[in-house]
Amino acid sequence: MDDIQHYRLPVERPFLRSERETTTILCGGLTWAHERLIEAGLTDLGYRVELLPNVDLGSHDVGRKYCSNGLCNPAYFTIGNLIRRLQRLRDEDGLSAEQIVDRYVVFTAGSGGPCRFGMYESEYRLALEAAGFAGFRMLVFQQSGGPVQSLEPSGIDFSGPFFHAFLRGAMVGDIVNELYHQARPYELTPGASADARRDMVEALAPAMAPLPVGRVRRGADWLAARRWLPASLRRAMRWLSAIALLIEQQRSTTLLVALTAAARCFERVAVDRLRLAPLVKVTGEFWAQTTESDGNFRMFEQLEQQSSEVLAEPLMTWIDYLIHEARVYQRRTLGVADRRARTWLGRRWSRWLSPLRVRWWTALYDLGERALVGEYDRLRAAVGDRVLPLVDQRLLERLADPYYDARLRGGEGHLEIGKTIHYAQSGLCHLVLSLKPFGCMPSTQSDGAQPAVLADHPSILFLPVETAADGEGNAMSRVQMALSEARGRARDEWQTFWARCRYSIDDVRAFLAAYPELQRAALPFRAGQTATAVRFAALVVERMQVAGMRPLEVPDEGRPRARIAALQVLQGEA
Amino acid sequence: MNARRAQLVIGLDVGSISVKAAVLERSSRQPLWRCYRRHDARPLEAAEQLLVELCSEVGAQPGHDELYLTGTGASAIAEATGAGFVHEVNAVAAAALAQYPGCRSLIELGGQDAKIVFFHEQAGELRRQATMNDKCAGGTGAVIEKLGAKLGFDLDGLRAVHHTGQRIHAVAAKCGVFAETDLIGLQKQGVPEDELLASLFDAIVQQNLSVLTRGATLLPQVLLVGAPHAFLPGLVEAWQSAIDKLWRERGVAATAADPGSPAIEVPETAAEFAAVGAALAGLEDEQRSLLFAPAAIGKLRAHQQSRARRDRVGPPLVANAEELAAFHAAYRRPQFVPARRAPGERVEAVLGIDGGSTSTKAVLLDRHGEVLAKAYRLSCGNPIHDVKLLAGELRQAIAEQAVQLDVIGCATTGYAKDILQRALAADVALVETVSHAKSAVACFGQDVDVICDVGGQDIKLIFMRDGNVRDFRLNTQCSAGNGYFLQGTARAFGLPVEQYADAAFSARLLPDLNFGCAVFLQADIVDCQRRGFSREEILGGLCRVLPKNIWLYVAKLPNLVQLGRRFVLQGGTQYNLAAVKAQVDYIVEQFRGSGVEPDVRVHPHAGEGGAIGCALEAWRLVEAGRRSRFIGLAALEQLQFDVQRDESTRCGYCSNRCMRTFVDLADQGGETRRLIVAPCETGMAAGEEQMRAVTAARREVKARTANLVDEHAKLAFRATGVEPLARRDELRIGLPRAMAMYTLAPFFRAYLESLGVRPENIVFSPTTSEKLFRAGATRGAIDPCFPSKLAASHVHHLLARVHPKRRLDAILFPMIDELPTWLHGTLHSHSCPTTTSTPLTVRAAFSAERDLFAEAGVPFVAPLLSLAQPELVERELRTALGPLLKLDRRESERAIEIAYRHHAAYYAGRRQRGRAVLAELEANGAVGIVLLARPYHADPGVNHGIAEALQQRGYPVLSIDSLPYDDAAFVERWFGLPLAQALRVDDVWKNSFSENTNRKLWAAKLVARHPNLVALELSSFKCGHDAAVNTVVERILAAAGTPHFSFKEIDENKPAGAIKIRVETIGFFLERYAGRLRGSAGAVDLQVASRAPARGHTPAPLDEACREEC
Repeated sequence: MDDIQHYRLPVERPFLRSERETTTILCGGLTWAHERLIEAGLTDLGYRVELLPNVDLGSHDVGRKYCSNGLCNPAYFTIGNLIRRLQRLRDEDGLSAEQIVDRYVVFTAGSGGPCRFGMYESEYRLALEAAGFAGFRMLVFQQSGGPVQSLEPSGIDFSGPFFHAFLRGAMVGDIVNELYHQARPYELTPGASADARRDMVEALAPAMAPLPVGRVRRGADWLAARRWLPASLRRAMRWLSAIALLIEQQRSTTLLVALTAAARCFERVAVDRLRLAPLVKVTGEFWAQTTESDGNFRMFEQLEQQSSEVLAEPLMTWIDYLIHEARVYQRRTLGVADRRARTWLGRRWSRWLSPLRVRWWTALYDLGERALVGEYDRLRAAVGDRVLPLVDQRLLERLADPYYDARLRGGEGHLEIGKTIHYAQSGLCHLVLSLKPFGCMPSTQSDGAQPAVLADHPSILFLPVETAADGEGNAMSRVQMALSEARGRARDEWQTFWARCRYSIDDVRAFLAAYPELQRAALPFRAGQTATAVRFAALVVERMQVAGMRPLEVPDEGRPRARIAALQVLQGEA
Repeated sequence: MNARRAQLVIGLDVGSISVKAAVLERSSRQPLWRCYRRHDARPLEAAEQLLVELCSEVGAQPGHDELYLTGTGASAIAEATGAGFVHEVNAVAAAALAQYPGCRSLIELGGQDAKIVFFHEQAGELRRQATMNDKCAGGTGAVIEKLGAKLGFDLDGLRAVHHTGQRIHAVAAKCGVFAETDLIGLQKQGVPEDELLASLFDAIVQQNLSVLTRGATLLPQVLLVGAPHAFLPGLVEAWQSAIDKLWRERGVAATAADPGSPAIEVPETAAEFAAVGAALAGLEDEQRSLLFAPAAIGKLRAHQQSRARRDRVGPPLVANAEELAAFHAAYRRPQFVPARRAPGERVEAVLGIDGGSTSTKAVLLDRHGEVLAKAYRLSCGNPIHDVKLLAGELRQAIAEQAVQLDVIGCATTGYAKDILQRALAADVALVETVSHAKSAVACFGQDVDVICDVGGQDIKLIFMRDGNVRDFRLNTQCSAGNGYFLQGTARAFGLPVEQYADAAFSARLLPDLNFGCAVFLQADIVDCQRRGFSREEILGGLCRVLPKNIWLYVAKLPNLVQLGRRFVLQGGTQYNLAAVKAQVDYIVEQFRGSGVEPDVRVHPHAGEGGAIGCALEAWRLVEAGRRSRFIGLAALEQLQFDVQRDESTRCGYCSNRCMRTFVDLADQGGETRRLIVAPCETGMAAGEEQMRAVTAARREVKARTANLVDEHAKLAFRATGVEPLARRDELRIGLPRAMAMYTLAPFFRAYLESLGVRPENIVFSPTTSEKLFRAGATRGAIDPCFPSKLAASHVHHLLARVHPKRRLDAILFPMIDELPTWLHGTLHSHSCPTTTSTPLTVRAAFSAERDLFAEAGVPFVAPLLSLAQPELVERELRTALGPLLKLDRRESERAIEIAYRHHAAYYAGRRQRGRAVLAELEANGAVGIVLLARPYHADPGVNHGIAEALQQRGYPVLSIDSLPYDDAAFVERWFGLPLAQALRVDDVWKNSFSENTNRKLWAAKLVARHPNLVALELSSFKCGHDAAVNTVVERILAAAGTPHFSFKEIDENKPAGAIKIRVETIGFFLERYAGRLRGSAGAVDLQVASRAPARGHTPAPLDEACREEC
């Protein structure tokens, strides 16, 4: 049997630190704003980064061609997209496959969770090989690894500044996107919000530069690089360095100032917030709910074109969830011996130490979560609190608990249920739209528990939609079906408001016409409950009352109280 | 004039198959005029025409009367013209509320859509909840029409068939393709068409009940609307029957709120209900939408077509007339000229018959392999009847030549090969793959590299080397890319199939359709219509997607260059030259830049390749001295037969009580003989005595041939005999025999028995059966993999069947998070997320409307268990079962210890058994099959009896758990590594998180190293974890040259015909492999050409070259 060459995984070529200057890191898979900001941060750290183009149906076709059957479509889209880029390098730029393999690497997120997403790294490699790019290097950032991915130096140092650049990109990207989605359904000039988003991101890019290295961080990094130290200590130094970096970030105001300034890009966007648009909270599988591409039928764009306001899911929710998942696991193992303990004595000892271990890790996770959420809140404040806060993971767990066990790993399961109940019950949205790729295992299972949720909360309007490369017409027809219901609910709110209001909409419009600055997307108008049009009308009506305006009265420059009231709206004092 | 008459409100429903209009009088809201019209894939033209008629016949006046649009094709019109658009659900809901205030459920079936709207009373208000099918059109009118046409029903025929009083057969309607597969199988068994159609109605209803209701109950009054309900009484009866049954089961009074109304009603306006609703909904709209001039649609059409030209389009099949002429010159089917003989000459010939799924073909082949005569006809259902007619045609053709024909042999192939062999006393029934290979080699010589046979139902890809079959791919049941799909689409577009190619060639651009599932393609076609593509363009686009479906979807082969350069295209689909052109273009494109020029040929007898191949085999047997017992052409023509299939033919030999078909044949001498067509060999026995003989023979094979998968499925659930720590005699606990229970049943049994629960009080639901599945299928709200869906049915059985007979104190269905692992160096040992969370979805399914567990007084206990961490398991189980068992910690710990010990001992026993089987294989030089599958594939209701079918061919079947991985000597012998290193998978698989995936890979590694083992891979549709390692498993086995067969995407329906072909083909390969293993390759008589392959050499470039030695 010795003469048989059994199959073995090809040996992976490492990405060496010495290759950093000559090697381009391809990355993609998030929204444009996130990617551009992360790219800016990484470029400032000295990496050569190229963003992959947004995925489209052509990417899917290529993915289908080279990947196995039966994968979920995010894999087809993203793998196909990478292969297409490499094919263009070969066919249009004239690089040979060897040159491409030498000069490019791809950076993607990995997962050790139960979902098959964690296995797609292998599918990337197989598909790349089938497409003629055998040996193409993949750099996988393990989600569960946090700031400590590896202790050994390599082309990408995933720890510390890299991780931090990613986090900052994620946070700022979330905020930019939310401002964009708040403006887009109401914009008077089509495309103005997209322009503003682009300008805002470009204005922010220089602010994504890394912070100067402080003493604590320098010392911790130096120690972490000493190979003669025990691995546990070096790992602890990585953690220390990461935490020090977060603290440095919290002390720095550079990004806050830049964010406040950049948010003014939306001042150029004229909006009509009295357009009645139902609020649609988009949840679902991680990629399907966040991508702005054919991967989810360009859902945000389509919803906004149909006069709906989208509440997109911040990336930070997922990062927060990863911390929470680790915390939940620790909680679950309280009083139980460490699984790595092999001997009887070891088990006894670790069981005895278990409360301490759980407390220590829980405290660390709490600290990490507080640091992240605190930073997110600081950034939100920099744009006038116009962005909704992250939903507390404990709340989501509690809401989902009667229907779905948060201890089940995978994420989409209890999160979807928790979010459905939270957003609908709090009046933050009229419709919860759950997007999932065809055959997505955790998300589909979560759907299976939703009938019980809807039975207990019959007022919730919930629609699960499977996304794929085909069947868009049918899917959008279902979305339209739910939207018309959501629109009805928004209309009810609208009519109820005007039925109780002593002003008419014409009065409000007249007031707004007198103060066109109130019709700008940059108006510090907080996100909140019920339809935006109703909240905005209520705010303006309140100011009109403060100004002593009478119904049918036309405001003019000679009424200083009206101006003051309008200014108060502008300053967010309402 | 119009100013004086009442104002009209028009509702126009532009659907995927038809356009409907309803005209209402604005003041009275009464319908004045209605119209339903099919549009033959031209929705805009039909809508325009209808509006013209409305203006001329009804007197509607643009700019004065109102128009509201609805339907899948309406939004584009509304967008372009500014007319009011009402979503279909809003439209039907508006009509229901206006006309049937007591309606609480509404079911609308359309061409491609299915919708259910529930009306709930909530705080005095009527709230609406609607569900709609997603992209899959299974369960809609299009499926009924397509399959009805296949069964030979025109629209009037469909209307005439009733459901009531008909025998209903099991047909899967989850997917139109699955339904098609089931119907063909039943048709071949002789089931009358009326029964088939009634069964299809039933299946459509069950599909919508199980998917669209999302587990909710339809409450009276139920309205059935949409064209299928309006026109097909049989479908309405199927609904009535199913809903009545549901109401009885769920205790719902079958009375409408309005005493005068029936509980289930089909409105008079059912076909135009959405159109009526659109008009009514429009009346409520504040903004009036005025009727536009019909010509506006014409402008829209032109606009859409120009837009379509920018949006996902590809070039035409032929750029110009010259290219078309050149293609025709190269590929036009040569006129068939029969081999000529001198009048009066005596000619010896053999008859080859291919009883295919959609057509039957026959050839008379002379000694030189020349075709004397051939005949083809679309199957009328009964293959004997088809062959009789074909025999007449052949005789006629021979008579014209005035030669004396002497038919000295006969062979059959295709779906109906066995029944035909027995009816005609043919010499051999040859498996299709081999027949096609023989035919191609005979025609094109041994240089043939690839044979691509695309028939009505099947796609067969046969890879050759030196005239031998070295590998094959078959579609299991998915017909994406098969010929009937093209034919069916052409028919739906109102185009005769003969004109398909001309139509497709005439298109100047083609829509870029997604390859893949035929049903999804159907949805894409509708989308193309909406986008304004013409019929010709869509037909051309379908041709373009056909090769992608064949090579990428079915065969999964992106690189054709590795296969060789000579491709032979066979099968009836090659008569469609547009399809051939697309195939040729695709193959040539794949070779571009490779430096190799492909040689693509079309078989001159493309449709009769199988018949010719089996006739060649008959010739081989004749020449080998076999004396034929064929009844002869004349006798065949005169053959009288009678088909009987009713209660009297039901099989009584086992508890399954399957329906059988009796075919009584009367030959010329008046002698009669009976053929019995049955799902199994036992059922084919003519009488008790024969049955006993058959059963004894089967038992003998079973006793002689181990099937460790089957053994495990039985033994794992048996009482453990562990000593109880306490007595809990009265407690009775139910467990579903599903999912992870196939791994952990010994553990839970031992745990509960050790706690004193009597073995007979630990009640597992029975093995999966069709009946069990169907009974609980309407509970689930989602459509995951079949094993997960089954779980609800098993729990339903415990709750609704077991518990009422004798009380259960709890149903235990744990969520399994982690499994114990015996592998080394893996990253984790997770269970799949579907397995883990299925108990939660089951709980939701039984507690959403009413808490059925609480009502029955049976707690549903679903602890989260990480089996890799015994301490956690102990705590979870104690917490979950504590209130019921009143456990103390110490007792619980002891029970857990016992459970783990028993679990380990049970599997040690399985491995010991496996070791013995392997020793026997090694000693005899025999071949055994390792089932690379997940534990639940041991369930015969999930594995569809595939493992047993191979066992019946004499091949022992081993499960992964029966492989002796703990036997250091054994493992080290094959791996050449110390045990700890050998039990690793990180040399082949990096992302080793999933335990069952890791085990599958390790088993594949062992099979690749053990010469007496081959692999049979089973995988369920939607299995995400299997999808991730499909290629890796193939590569492991391919590198070693180990035969590897797979049944991927198995699902709830059992495609018996397709399974049979594959099992036979696998049998053919294994026979040769076993022969070679025994060193007697020459003894195998079913070979295409002689060759002496060798195993264990350096793998050929093609990754599937592994099967070369077959």
